[in-house]
Amino acid sequence: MTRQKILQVENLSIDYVVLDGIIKAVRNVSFTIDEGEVVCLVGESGSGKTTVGLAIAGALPENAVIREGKIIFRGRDFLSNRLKDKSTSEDRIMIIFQDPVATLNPLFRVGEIISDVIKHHLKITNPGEIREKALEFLKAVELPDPERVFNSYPHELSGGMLQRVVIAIALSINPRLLIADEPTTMLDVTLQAQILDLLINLKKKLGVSILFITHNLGVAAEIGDRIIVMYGGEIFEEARSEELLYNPLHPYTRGLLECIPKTHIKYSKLKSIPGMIFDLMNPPKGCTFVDRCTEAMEICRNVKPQLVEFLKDHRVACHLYRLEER
Amino acid sequence: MKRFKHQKIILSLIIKKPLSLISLLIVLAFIVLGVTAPFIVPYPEDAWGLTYNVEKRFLPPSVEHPLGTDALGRDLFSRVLLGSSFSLIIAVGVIGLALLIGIPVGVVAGYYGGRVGTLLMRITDMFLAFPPLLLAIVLAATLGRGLLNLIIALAISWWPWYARLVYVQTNTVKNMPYIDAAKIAGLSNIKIMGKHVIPNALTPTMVQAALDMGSAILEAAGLSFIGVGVKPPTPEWGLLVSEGWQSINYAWWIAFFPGLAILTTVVGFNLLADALRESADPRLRRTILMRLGVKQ
Amino acid sequence: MSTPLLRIKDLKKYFPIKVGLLGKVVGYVKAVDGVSFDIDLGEVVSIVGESGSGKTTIAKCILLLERLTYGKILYNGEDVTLLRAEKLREYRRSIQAVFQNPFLSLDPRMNVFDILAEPVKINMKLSREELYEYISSLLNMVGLDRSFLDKYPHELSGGQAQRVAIARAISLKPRLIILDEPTSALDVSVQAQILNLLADLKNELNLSYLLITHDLSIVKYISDRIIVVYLGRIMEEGLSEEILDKPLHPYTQTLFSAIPDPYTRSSRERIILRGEPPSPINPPPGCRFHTRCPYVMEVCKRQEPDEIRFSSTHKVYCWLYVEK
Ligand SMILES: Nc1ncnc2c1ncn2[C@@H]1O[C@H](COP(=O)(O)OP(=O)(O)O)[C@@H](O)[C@H]1O
Ligand SMILES: Nc1ncnc2c1ncn2[C@@H]1O[C@H](COP(=O)(O)OP(=O)(O)O)[C@@H](O)[C@H]1O
Ligand SMILES: [Mg+2]
Ligand SMILES: [Mg+2]
Repeated sequence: MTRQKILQVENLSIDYVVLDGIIKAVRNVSFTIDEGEVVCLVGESGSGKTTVGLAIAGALPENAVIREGKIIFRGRDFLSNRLKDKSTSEDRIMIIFQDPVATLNPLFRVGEIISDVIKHHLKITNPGEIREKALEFLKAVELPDPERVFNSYPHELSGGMLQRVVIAIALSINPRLLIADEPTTMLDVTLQAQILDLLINLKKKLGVSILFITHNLGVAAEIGDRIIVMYGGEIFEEARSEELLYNPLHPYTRGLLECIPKTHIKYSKLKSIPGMIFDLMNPPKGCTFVDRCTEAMEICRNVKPQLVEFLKDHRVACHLYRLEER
Repeated sequence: MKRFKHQKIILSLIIKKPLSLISLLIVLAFIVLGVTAPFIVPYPEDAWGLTYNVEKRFLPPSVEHPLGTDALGRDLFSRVLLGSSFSLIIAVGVIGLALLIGIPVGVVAGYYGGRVGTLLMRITDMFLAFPPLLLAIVLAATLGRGLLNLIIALAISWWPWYARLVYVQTNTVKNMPYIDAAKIAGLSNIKIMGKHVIPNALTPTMVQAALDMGSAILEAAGLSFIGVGVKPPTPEWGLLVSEGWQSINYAWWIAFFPGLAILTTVVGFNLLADALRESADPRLRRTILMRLGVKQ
Repeated sequence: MSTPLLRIKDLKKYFPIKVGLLGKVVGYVKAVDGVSFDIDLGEVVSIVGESGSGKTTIAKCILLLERLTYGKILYNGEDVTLLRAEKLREYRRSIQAVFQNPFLSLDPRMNVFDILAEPVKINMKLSREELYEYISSLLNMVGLDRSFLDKYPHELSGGQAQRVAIARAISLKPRLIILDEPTSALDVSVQAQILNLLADLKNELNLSYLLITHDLSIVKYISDRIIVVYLGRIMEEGLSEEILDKPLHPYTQTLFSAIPDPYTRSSRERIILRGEPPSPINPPPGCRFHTRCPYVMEVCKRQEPDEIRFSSTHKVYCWLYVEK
């Protein structure tokens, strides 16, 4: 079964310009997302996940510079236009963020906000019709009592409900790709489970593709068809979810998996990855994970490992896995 | 987690945006000139308005008098230059005095709350209910002309804004976990206020205050222009414009150059304020929704 | 029976809802509504529940940051609201806290040295050199070195900042540290580091912990006893093994099934809790969980269940286990 590719990211590199110098936040990142697929971007803070998401959504901040690369959405490379005007809109891509409170203007009722978007994008002018559509979207995200939500101010709703409202707004433009940047990180586990469930349902019902960003491999496994592991702005490993869970190759991926508290193992000391991320202004010459890696070899310090397809549909960038030794 | 320095990003943005850089240069130039003007004016006596020279009346700009002369034959360049000192004094005086009243009111109301807090904020709200410029005009007219009276009148119409800002900030800071941490450490209320609450609550206010100087200069000029500000022959820009106004038909420069000075300075301050505000709140998250036409 | 280190007896905290200038009270937020438990010396007790269930309020009452509405807190058998002077200072020193977001719990304008020196200066008499040595040793204990002394919070990573907060909490040699969601704001990889550090410190310094979290998955790595709360009331409590092996209350079970564990993704039966907790202003009558409970019965809506004991330590409040 080959599905249509909805998004291709090729060789994407993004810098942030700050006074001290240049933060090389994303380096040579390539991946694809199929129609109706959920791809997870996983890594610790600072690995460049948000930057990739923002670049695809066309919402990079002022001081970001896309150094090179292509972002091909539904067969069209829109980056070439984007370079000139970073805010060119790609209206079938939508992004939602970790903190729903910061996304919604506190001065307006939820209904006004969502009606506005509908008016703009669905070109509906009849107020009754707009209201109906808005309520429909609020129902689609399984909000109880959509009427009440419609008439509420953001501060009157809880974090979980607000995140649903934001998803409803995102859906109202009928996106083909939804970028979800840690949408559950600020929520309780129970609410997190609800939101993940909702996203999976929406994917099934609407066929929307999702790029889901998280720092928790456990969450990624819960929702993702495919998982991409990032570290310090680069892709370290990529595979289908089950493959990555049961056959993780990169020592970093294995570390991330060991960090997740398990429910089925009785008691053990929780494993952790010692150390912290390197200075992004001066990335090490070889493998960037070398200082934290328990299996580092001499070569790791000097030669950067390439991302290779070591197993079928399973890419990894690590000197432990070299094609000629396969 | 954020590991880059906030201030550095702000600075780098300013440097990246040419308009912000220009505004920064204008503001710096204004401050430098304001401080040095009394010592560098080419015709000090003209500048202070101590003499007049009938033969030199209404001379257009020339090499000798780059901005021409005024109705009493005084060198306009010297007067406008010295005017920057007065504007600086007024700006610092008004904002300083307004802070002096606003900060204690805001901090006490915000930190202790309760009845006293409510009362203080009610009084503040009462002042805020008047249009500030109107209040300043009435006060200035009542107090009479003069530099000090002008400063007092403006400061009285100004402080409620700071009281409100400090109040909101104090309230926010007071509920921060690091205040709880200080209480757990055993610090007394007074010490917590002095060491944690006030410094953290005041930073945004101080930034705001520095950027408000442009507006203070503009309002002072306005008051002087309508005749309730400083006394002649003080070379205050607003007064200079008003003096030049009478002869605008045949000696345009007398009103024009002080007016230009006001415009440049105020625009400089306001652009800088905008740049700082924008970079302090990049509204990264909101860009998308804004693009969609969501109300922001 | 010996006296516990800390005994919480029928704790209630109601926040009045005020309106208007005169502050007329129109109702109460019943944040904590009758909670009792003990913490022994060297014991780790976890309080687990969704946000809004009153966990932080319990912590603030113990830390004397909030006044109790009702009930008692006994420290070594003494009522802490009656402590005065030196005894009160000793109590405050003995109970310390670590909060959720380290960047909010460290004053952004102070460097690490000043942050750590603040409580020490107030409570101990040390010379300058002794102070410096002591603070360096604190940093060592939490796995940081002296180079951090003059850094500001914004120069630290989340994990490092939380280590500083932990160093501050142990600086006064406390008996009990309240950990309010200490890892919720951190990356999973860092979460493990912090939990391990906390476990090590506990053994080294013979501390008690009150761990507050909404995530049942982390408690087993560290706690001896678990208390599950919902809307200001205890739903179930017991030894960690008891709760983890055999969660009885439907609420505990849903908390379990919400944990994202990749390896049980297919085998696990997920109970996704619908909706949000009701408002603590007007909590539901009867069992507070009945509005969301998958096993709700008629009786649950009318009457609050009594305590059902499954062992001397394992208690649950649920009608499912009442014999007819
Ligand atoms: N606006 C910005 N200016 C400068 N540096 C930034 C900016 N946004 C992010 N960064 C830096 O870029 C790197 C990657 O950040 P980000 O994409 O947010 O990572 P993640 O989402 O994986 O945590 C980090 O080192 C971060 O500090
Ligand atoms: N100072 C306060 N004033 C009024 N209501 C409060 C206050 N603090 C907490 N609450 C309310 O009490 C309830 C319990 O809050 P909290 O103890 O923070 O719960 P948790 O820590 O379990 O999330 C919530 O409904 C919250 O809104
Ligand atoms: Mg991010
Ligand atoms: Mg809490």
